[in-house]
Amino acid sequence: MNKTGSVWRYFDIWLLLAVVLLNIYGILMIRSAITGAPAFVGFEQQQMIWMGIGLIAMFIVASIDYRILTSAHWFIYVGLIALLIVVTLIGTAGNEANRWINLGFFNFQPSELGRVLIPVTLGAFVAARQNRVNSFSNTFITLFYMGVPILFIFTQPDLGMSILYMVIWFGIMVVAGLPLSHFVALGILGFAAIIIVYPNLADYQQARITSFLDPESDLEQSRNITAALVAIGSGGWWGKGYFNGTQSQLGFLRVQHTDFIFSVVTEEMGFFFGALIVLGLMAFILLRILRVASITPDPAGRYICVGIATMLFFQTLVSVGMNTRLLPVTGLTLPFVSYGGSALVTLYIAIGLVQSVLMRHRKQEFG
Amino acid sequence: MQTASKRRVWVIAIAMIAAMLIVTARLVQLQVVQAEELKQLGDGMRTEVKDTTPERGQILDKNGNIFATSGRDYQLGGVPPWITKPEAERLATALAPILQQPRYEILEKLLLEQQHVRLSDHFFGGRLPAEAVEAIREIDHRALRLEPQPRRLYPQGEMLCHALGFVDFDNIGRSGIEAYYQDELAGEPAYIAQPLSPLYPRTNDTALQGANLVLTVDRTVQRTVETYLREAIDFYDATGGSIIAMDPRTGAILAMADWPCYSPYDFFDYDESLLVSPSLTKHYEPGSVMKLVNMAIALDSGKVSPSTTYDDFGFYEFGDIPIYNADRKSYGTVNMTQVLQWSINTASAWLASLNTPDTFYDYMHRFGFGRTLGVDIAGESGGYVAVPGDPLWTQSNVATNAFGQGIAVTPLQMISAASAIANGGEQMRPYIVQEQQIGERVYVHQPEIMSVPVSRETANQVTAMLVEAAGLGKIDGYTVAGKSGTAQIPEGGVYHPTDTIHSYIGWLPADAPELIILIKLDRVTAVEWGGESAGPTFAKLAEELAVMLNIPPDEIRLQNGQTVAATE
Repeated sequence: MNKTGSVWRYFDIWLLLAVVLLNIYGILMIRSAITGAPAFVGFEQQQMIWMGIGLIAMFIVASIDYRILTSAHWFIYVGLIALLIVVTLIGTAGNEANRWINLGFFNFQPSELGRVLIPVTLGAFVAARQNRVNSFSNTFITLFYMGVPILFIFTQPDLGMSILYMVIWFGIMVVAGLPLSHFVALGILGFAAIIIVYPNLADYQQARITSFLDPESDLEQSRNITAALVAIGSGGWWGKGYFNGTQSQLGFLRVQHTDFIFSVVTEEMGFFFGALIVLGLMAFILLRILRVASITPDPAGRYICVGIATMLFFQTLVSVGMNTRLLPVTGLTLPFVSYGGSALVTLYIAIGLVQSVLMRHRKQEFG
Repeated sequence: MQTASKRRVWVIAIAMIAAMLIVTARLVQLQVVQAEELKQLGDGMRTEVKDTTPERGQILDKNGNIFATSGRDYQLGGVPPWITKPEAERLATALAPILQQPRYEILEKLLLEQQHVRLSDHFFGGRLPAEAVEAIREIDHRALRLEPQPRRLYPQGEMLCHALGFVDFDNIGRSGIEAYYQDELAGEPAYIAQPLSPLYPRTNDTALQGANLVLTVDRTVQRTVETYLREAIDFYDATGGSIIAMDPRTGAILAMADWPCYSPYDFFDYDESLLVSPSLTKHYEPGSVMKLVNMAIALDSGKVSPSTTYDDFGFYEFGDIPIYNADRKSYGTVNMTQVLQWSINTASAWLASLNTPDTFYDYMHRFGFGRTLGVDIAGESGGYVAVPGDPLWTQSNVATNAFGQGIAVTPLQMISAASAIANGGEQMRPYIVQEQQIGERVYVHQPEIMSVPVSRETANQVTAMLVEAAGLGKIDGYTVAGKSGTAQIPEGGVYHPTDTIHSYIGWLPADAPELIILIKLDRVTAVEWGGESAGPTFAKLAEELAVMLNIPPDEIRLQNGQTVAATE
């Protein structure tokens, strides 16, 4: 490990650029989205501060060899579980769900950090068991491995995050070589699980699903979905113009700076300058991350990248999907665009991890 | 192994891109295909078309006492989907005595398969009596709805009823001031298409709030007038009557009373004929009171002067009809003052015959007969005057019109014409609303000269004669100008054999009038002549009103060096 300069050579400047562009675009949209809502004054400045913190975190994480993390994956995993238990035990109440630990200066959400830690630990775990990938027991063991944190997150309750963790597992397992038969079997089991789980969902989670399936069931919820649709639809090809989105500006959209930021983007900026830019940048980011997955020889590193790409992809898909009424409202935010400090820092840490993997993919050959 | 894994990475990548393309397709669908539809949906969501009906304005007396104001009463609605059958049965049992309706009828309605039924329809206007509202509040069932409806309240009861008019159950004024000022009182509902947002409070403005109307009427004066009217009707055994008091200088109606009255709050309990104002609509032949107008015409047209004499033989023939005096006497040679003083029919007919019919009726028209005066109370009638050219008109009409026969006038027309004489020839348009208050803005009525039928000189001459003719209308301390009348009542083309209408018009102080009063008593049986019933009634009322209206007695007034018109 002599020359730091030699690893930074591989740092993906394009990936960083895309992320920063998307983030800045998001901050500009937050600025417009919160106009006229006194409760949200100053959110765009806060988001800029978080962006700075996120960039610093990214560089710090990138400078750390990810293999230090993968080798310590059990500690990280156990630590994460411990934090989730702490949340369950003493987590402060907020937004009708127990997700946070109040650290005084900000609310720490372990499941949020888990989004980037799980790809690391699961990646290392699966990589270590690479030769057993065809056995059904291995699939179940990895499922159980994911099941423990998901159980805690689900009981918080946080349906969106629970599903996200499952999808990360799925992405990593597919790349690891999950046999199709296992997939089919799990699909059947999963369907059975839904039938059992649904009645036990929290009221508001059920409401979100029923609201999606039957918009008349919950007036407030369906109003917001309709408001989002109207926002998107009325944006047209070119949008109404920055600061001119009547749906968000007039307060029709709720959580317009977080869950429904995409509606604001498309209403004001239209299809070309809104939807295509956001989705295009995200597609570019995903491809850059998957490129790392494809060129790194280390399975653990690859799984980390795939897990992170899956996480970003799924959040984007769900966020846009719920804005466009393709998917239920799950409370997942649009990566790099939605308002939210800890989420943004987490995303930058994820990018830092990808960079770390990328920067060290050559070492393997020589090492 | 490595290559397979790498390949799967690209499978993932392709899957992701494919998913994003699906999302993009969905966006195109929303933003392009459904754009217009969603835009319209949005416009509908963001716009609220409001129809806020402002509260109907109040009607106040000149001191701010409330004559009419807006309140609420209730209709009873029911929501059948919220009632089970046993519940409906219990409710029907409880409601039957309250609604004074058979139990089965209520039950039948409560079991209808409708979202809403009306349970108080059998009451007039569907309005529940106050006790019923209380009782239903006590039942307090969620399927019973007390639905508030605007209802006009009249705190002074029946006072001023005909002038005020009434408001129907659609909150629309149907007669009197309520009808004339319907638009002003009602204000304008705001039809605003305004942006709607859950975050911002909705503005609640109305286009125009209902005006409060301040009348020229003083409640105390009105009550006094009504009391005197009722007493006179009782005392002289009349069937009804009217009293109007005006300020001749402005045309302001100071009081307007008619009997029989009605309660505007319970307008639906009365026969429709009782709801219209007799003062404004009831045609009558004024009789000898008209002689003062006739005299003014003769003087103003220069045909006679106050000193002109007439030789009365108790008989005068004009247009093939013989005219006699009411008491069948002949007065010999009389001057013009005596013509009014003794109310000589023959002389009056002769005076009218001095002008051509056209000139005569032109004067009558200028005095406001045969046409509406434009008072600000709805339903005013113009009376009826047959003029040359009408099939009903013959030359003899001029002779009979001269002493108030063969002509239909309203009490308001009669007092208005007399007020022209009182006010030096200037006839002020009668009005009753002094001020319209619309929010901060106040519109004050400006007195308006309606017509100038005769000259000031003529008016003063007639007034001076009427001081002599005032008879029993005279009062202590004030010079009164006045004239009584006893008119026959035409019924089915002939005059009623015995019944007469007694009336009196007088004003004071005669030289500078501030108050003019018309007394009209229908079918008086206690005494024979108007001068014996309406005259004394005028005197008593005028004496009291002069104090109330703060009119200084002549002695004090003339000491203060005010002008005396009569001496000009």
